[in-house]
Amino acid sequence: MTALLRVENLRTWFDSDRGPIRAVDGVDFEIESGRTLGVVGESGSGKSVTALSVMRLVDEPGHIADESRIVFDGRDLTSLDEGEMEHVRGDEISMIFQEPMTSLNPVYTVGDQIAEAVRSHENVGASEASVRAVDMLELVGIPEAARRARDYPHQLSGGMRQRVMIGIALACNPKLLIADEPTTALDVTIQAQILELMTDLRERLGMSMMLITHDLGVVAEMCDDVVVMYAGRVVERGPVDEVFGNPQHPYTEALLQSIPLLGMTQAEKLRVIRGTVPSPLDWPQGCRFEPRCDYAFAKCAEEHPPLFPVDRQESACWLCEHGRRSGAPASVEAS
Amino acid sequence: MLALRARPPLGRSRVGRGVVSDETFLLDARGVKKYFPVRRGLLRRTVAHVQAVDGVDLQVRAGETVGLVGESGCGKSTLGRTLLRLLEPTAGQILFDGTDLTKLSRRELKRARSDMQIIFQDSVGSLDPRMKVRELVGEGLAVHGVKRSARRARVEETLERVGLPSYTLGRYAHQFSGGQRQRIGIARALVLQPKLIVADEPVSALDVSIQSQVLNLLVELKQDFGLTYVFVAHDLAVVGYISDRIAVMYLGKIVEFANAADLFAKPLHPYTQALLSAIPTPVVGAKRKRIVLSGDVPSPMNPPSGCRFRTRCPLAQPICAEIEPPLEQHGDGHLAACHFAGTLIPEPFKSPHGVEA
Repeated sequence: MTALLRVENLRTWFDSDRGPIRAVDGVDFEIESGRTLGVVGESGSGKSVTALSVMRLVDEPGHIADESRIVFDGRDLTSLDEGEMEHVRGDEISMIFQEPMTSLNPVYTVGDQIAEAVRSHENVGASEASVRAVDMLELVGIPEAARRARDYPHQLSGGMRQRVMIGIALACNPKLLIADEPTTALDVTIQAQILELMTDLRERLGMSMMLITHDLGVVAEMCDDVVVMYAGRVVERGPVDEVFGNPQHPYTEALLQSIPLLGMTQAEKLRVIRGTVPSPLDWPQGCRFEPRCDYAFAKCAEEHPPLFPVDRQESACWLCEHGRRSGAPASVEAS
Repeated sequence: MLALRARPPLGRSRVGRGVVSDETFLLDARGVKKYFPVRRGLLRRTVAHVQAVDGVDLQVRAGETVGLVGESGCGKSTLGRTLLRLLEPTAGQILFDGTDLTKLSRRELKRARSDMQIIFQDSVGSLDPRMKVRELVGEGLAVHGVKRSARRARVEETLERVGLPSYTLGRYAHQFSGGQRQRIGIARALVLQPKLIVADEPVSALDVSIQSQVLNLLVELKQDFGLTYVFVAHDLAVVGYISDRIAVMYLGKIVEFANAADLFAKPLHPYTQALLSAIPTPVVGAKRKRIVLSGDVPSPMNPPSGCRFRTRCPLAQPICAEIEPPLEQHGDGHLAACHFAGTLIPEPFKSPHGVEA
């Protein structure tokens, strides 16, 4: 399989009075054709900035470093000018966001907004675009699509608005859909509807997907591969079943053990990750997770570990330098 | 549009349908309703009511944690606040430690408040940005007349107990991370040594690594101080983790109320079944068939007749539109409000993507 998207050494920094904010600081990953990649991490891990960087939607004072490469379908997006990039966005890569209300224009009907998306990328007439808009609304599961096309965003519920956003994003058959926390603002039964819709459309349209989320459960249900981010870097990546089934990086492991699973009771104590995420103005010198890691040893504070291969996974931890890590930390129970 | 009827006062016997009768409860709420008027037009006339909480019975034993769970608009937060009379109930009685809170004067209520506290989700909005931690945590003590000299020690003790070092006393809320701010919120509630704490989505805004710190802290504090919690949250896994018993709410009503273990093992109400199946879980090989409900939650201004869940229920029959199912016993304290309680939704259940207009 060839990679549809290959991101190499992505560094997206934001200038500030107190020095550069290194939000994304050396990120590598690939998305293969037809597969879904989950990018997971907590606030401040850099996952959203990574997505915006791929779309080249990072505004001043942010900038992507010169040596970063974003190779999509054989072309390096970092070398395209804004006009060429306009064609890539929407035609080839589309993006949906967490809050559809702020992404939709309140003064146009949802039908007009989809029609506009169609016309901005394809040379079709107004009436043809309107027909296509209704088709899209049907595709994303909105009943009475012809009537709903005349509704304004505020007349729709949160779940329906997210369906409209997906409709706009898919209007031009992109090869890659980037979804940034698409269900985070939705209730769980509505989230289930949207996840099912996305799964269904992905299969029907044969596109690749990059799903950014903080919810490990969503990754487990939706994704083939996963990238775990921490403090602007990738700490672990690989097929979801392997990374979640046998996490090699201590952060991935701690994250998985700190979530109460359905049916767990207070009798089982939750794993605690002590302390807080460090500041992007001043990342720790060695491994960025070292100050919070139960397994840390001297080398961790000195030198940053690269991604080491462990079977089909890769883990940026010195314990994986020679392959699969073993043994439990001395202080797992202490918190 | 809607006539508000006061519920007839309950007799001494305290026997309600499906309610354990021979126990005393720290909190015993009966027939609680909270309607919000919807005003329109120049004269701001009331044209309708949002029936946020519409007739809820809830008993909480001393020392237990009762979880209130449901989706947005189900009334769980409104109920949590109404239980403390932070919102004035439209109807019903709320017995706290034997006293009916709805009958208390403002002054009496203020005194009672030192025994019942609340923790909010939004630790930014609920902490005054101009107050230092010392004042934030000591505020309740000052309101309840604790002398300045005694306050300081209590504040420091409480801060230490929630895991904030004493050098933070002179800092402002914005100087803390989200998890630390939530600890300040917990300290504010704890400092008065209350019997009951209503925790309203206390970990929803936190990252998972911080969420587990706060959950563990709440569990420890409960054990150490013999606290009773009403824990309001939308995340069923979190509620299940912390609660002894769980009330599942839908459109202003409790649809199921059971021990946490029973609820997960044997959900009786179809809404609970759907809710449980819809939660994605990060366990390899756990990918199971989801029950995907069609449609959105109807408006609480104009809820469906009969059973409120029937418009989305895969099991709905004609009777559901006509007769509202009462919350009834289905064995050992397991309550459910469904004509077909215990019937399993056939899996894999997949509704059309359709949404009722």
